[in-house]
Amino acid sequence: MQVNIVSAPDYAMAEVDLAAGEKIVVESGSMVGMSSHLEIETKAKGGVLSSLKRMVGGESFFINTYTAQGAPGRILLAPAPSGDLRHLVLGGGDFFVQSGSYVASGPAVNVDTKWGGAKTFFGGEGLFILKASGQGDLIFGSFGAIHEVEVDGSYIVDTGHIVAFEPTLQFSVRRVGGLKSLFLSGEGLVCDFSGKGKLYLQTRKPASFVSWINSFRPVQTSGD
Amino acid sequence: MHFEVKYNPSYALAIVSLGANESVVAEGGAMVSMSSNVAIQTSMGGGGGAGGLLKALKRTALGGESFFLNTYTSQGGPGEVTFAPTLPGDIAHIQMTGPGLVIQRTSYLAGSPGVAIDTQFGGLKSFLGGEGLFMLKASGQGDILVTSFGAIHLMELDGPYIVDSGHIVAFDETLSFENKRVGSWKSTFLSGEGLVTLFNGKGRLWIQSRNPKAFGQLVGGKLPPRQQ
Repeated sequence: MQVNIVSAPDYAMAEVDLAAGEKIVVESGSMVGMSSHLEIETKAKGGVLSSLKRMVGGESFFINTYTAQGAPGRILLAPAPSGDLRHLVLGGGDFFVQSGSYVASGPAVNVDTKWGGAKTFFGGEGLFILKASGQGDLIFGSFGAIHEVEVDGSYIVDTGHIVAFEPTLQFSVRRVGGLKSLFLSGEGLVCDFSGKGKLYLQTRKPASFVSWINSFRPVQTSGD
Repeated sequence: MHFEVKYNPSYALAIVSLGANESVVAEGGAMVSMSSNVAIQTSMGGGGGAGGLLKALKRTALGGESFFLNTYTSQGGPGEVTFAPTLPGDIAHIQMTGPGLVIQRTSYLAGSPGVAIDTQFGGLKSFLGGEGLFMLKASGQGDILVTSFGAIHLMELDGPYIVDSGHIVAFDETLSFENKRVGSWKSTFLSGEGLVTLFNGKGRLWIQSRNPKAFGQLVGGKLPPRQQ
């Protein structure tokens, strides 16, 4: 599998070249275009329980596997938000991706919902982290640019800006500051990272953008 | 204190490096990440003072958006804080050395603590009728970060110039400004240009290449109504 990312960082798209017989697993809705002989197989991956977990994790219930049947082929992939893409090759270790950032992976990469523990959930908000493990390619995306931070010690990130991080980093989620900050800072949840490893952040926060758009929706008064 | 802006113009991120016990002030919600030795303190907006919470809430109700300022202080050693606005766009770093700066409220991102932010500036006059724009006034010495929806375009004005009010980011206090209709009443209603601001004098004007309200109405207006 050869991955080439074009139109980065504002509107990145991945060109993935598959050898004959090679497969790629792609998040539902991320395929832009493909060679006409590629075969698509759709399934609720990992059985019902696992699929339900994926759905809770903000991911789609179904996942698609594309196979370059009989001859090499190309597939183009793009995430939903405007922003960047990253391609990594996993060498057998774990890697963590925020569920909304996952785009695609090689067939030998196992993608599982990692419950960050009950502490990642506060009144409906939460941070859903997928654990990717095994060997092969991994493609993930961002809203805005991807900012890489080499953490050595500890570092704090607004949960909405997390894209991915290396497994050498420990993390826990909490509300920021004291009671006053809770109501007034607008900052909400943060994630404390510690250890030594690379952290990938997105420079825009999907939830903030959505709530900004929401403020422009027409208002239905109670009498209607 | 050192300011660096990366990933501009579309998805700019400001990286602020603080010395030991140095502080930076930012709009509530702008923080992306920070060193773990940075402490956050929330206030109602420097300079405003009196009335505190109630006035801040009133502003929220009027403007549909919060305006709280957080102070980030690097405790015991150096640290960094990164900031980003909500919308896609750029960040401009402005060094304030003399005259004050008038900033469209949603364009204010962050600044050094030596710069006072007056949220009561101009009272109702600063509410640009119809456009729902509130202006802040920054004064003092230090750094200010302002943000745009779309790209930021800097203009050096010398004489009269007209700008659509929704495209204003910030301008030097040395410029006079007055809100007016474009052309006749017919043009006001039919041209689609709405309210414009007439600037005059000599000074810098930063404008944004997209109008947030126009975009918000384009997308939000197509969504089903929300319950009040």
